[in-house]
Amino acid sequence: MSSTALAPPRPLIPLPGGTTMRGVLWQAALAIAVILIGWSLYNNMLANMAARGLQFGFGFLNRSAGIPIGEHLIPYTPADTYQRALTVGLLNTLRVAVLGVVLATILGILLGLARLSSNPLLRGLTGGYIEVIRNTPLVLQLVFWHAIVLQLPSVRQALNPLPGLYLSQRGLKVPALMADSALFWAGVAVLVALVAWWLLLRRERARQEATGERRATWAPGLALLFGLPILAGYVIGAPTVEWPVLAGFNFRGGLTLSPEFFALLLGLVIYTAAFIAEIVRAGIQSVQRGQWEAARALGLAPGRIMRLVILPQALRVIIPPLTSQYLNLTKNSSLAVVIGYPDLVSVANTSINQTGQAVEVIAIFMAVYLIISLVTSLLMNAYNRAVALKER
Amino acid sequence: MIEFDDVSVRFGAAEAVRGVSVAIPPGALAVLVGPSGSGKTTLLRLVNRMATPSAGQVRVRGEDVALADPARLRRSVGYVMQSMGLFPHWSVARNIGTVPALLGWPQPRIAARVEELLALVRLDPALAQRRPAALSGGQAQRVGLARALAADPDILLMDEPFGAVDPIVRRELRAELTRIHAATGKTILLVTHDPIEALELATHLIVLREGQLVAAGEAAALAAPPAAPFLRALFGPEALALRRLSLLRVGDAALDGPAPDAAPEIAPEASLAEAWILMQERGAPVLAVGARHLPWSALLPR
Repeated sequence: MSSTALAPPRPLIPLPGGTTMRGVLWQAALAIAVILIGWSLYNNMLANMAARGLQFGFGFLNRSAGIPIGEHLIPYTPADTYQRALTVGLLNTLRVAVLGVVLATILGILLGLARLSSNPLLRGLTGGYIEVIRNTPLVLQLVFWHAIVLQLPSVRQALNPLPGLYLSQRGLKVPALMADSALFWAGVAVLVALVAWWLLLRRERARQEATGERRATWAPGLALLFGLPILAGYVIGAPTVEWPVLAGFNFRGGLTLSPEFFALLLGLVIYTAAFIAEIVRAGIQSVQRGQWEAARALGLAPGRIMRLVILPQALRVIIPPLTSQYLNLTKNSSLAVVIGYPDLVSVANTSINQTGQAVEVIAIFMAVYLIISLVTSLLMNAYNRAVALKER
Repeated sequence: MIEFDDVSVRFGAAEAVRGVSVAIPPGALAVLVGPSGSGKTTLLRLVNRMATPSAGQVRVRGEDVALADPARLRRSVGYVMQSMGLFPHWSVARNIGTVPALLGWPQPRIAARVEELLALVRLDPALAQRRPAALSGGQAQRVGLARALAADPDILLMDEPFGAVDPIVRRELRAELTRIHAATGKTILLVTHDPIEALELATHLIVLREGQLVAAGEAAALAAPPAAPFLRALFGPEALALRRLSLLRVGDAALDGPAPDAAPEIAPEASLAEAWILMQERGAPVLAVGARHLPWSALLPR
């Protein structure tokens, strides 16, 4: 048999860069199809809206909303516009998402480490927690936590586990720091203490390089951190604290976390932490056993092995799925609607019911969630690049 | 320098090491050899308390290791492992400087030490800022050796140090280790399952089987016939015989009286193995050693 060489397929009409006319034609056809479908959908929408006497546009945003919203981070009354109502909803979403991400990360890391513990009881308990929480629907858990929070005693019999802390049907009451000049100076004192601690640390590092000796800086550092604000309190006056006081059927003063916010935060944190725990465990286990061995053989203490050798290598495995969990938590916060927390989706739903401008409102909250998610991804990717394993 | 005194180690029901007593003198290159599962790695790990004896005592520099602080003990004993020992997220220089940094050396002193060690293990100083992933297997193993030597420990433990590199590099690294041992005079305890490697490197041999000591002593003495049946089976009779010859010197074996005129010349510092090879190549039964002579019968054990 003679050997046969495969002839390369001959392009119909050769184009520069190795592309063929056929490829270009296919792509153009696809682009035209997408445009046509989009245009027909848009016309269909306009026709349907016209049939209901609606006009496409965002003009309704400037009309008065008349939606009562119980929790708002910025001043708000039902007389305010839809634009303001949606902003209040967005801020409520961001509040629960940011707090949730921070708390879920802390709880998740602790649970992940506990899952790897050599103590069988601790390991078993965390394992059980993770399996139960990961394998039941989040909506169910939110309703459950909300029901629990609503089972709390009435205001007059509020639980008082710590002075100034009241837990009741109306949520959690905590003392509030008043923004006055004394608080400002206390803040300045904390900053000064931190800078002084950092300078001390630098001096000790230099000392170690020069003499090989090093003194621990945590004792003087902590003394500075607590001593300076207390000193400032004596000299300038302590910042005013507003304590919640029971007056009649409600509390006066202090900060309130509503039962809805409290239940939503609790549910999201407990749910997401279970996933983060598994991610942290997998990340730590992805580091080869030889690394533990080598670090131990060199005489590193267990805490240092984790901090200097294992975690930096585990992070590159942990960060990408962790980002997904942050995005999930943010988007899951829209389940707030089932327990009545006024987040963006909840406010948007009411807006749709009142105005009928469903397409515009949904477009707004899709855009908002997209922006939040993209910003989160962007930040996490930047962090990932910073800690990524450099090959050379 | 290192003494095992009737040491046993138990892992659950299994006994990995059973009643081993052996002493390693300062400056020795002692090789622990035996089939897999013979307890050699466990015995090595006892020295820096990576394993703890269930009975008996391990003494390092005359002190019971059970009473020593594990972290300080480990920093005072170098440790080289088969693979995966380098930290991939640190540069070569930072890897080598790990223990000096833990000991709180000033930065310039660490940098100088890293440079010195790279020269000792014959690595290009330009590699210092590279990551371990950019190194070849042989280079990585040299970095591992440099890291173990960083704080100038007088004892070096090596667990199958050449197990993960190809045969050619392995031979090169063995020669390098012999050279570094001669240059630094460290006490080295090395684990291998390769009998030929053990014979080539060892000044002292410790042979284990199923957790028990089979033989221990100077390599030349162990290699001399009549070798125990297990040693013959482990090393092979040819390797044992050749190793014995390479550990003995021509000057010590030569007889008085001149050699015949045609006899090839050999230096008194040469080993008997080299004399044997010269005899083979020239077909000469007698070699000249200055004014003395070395007949082939002098190669026989006395």
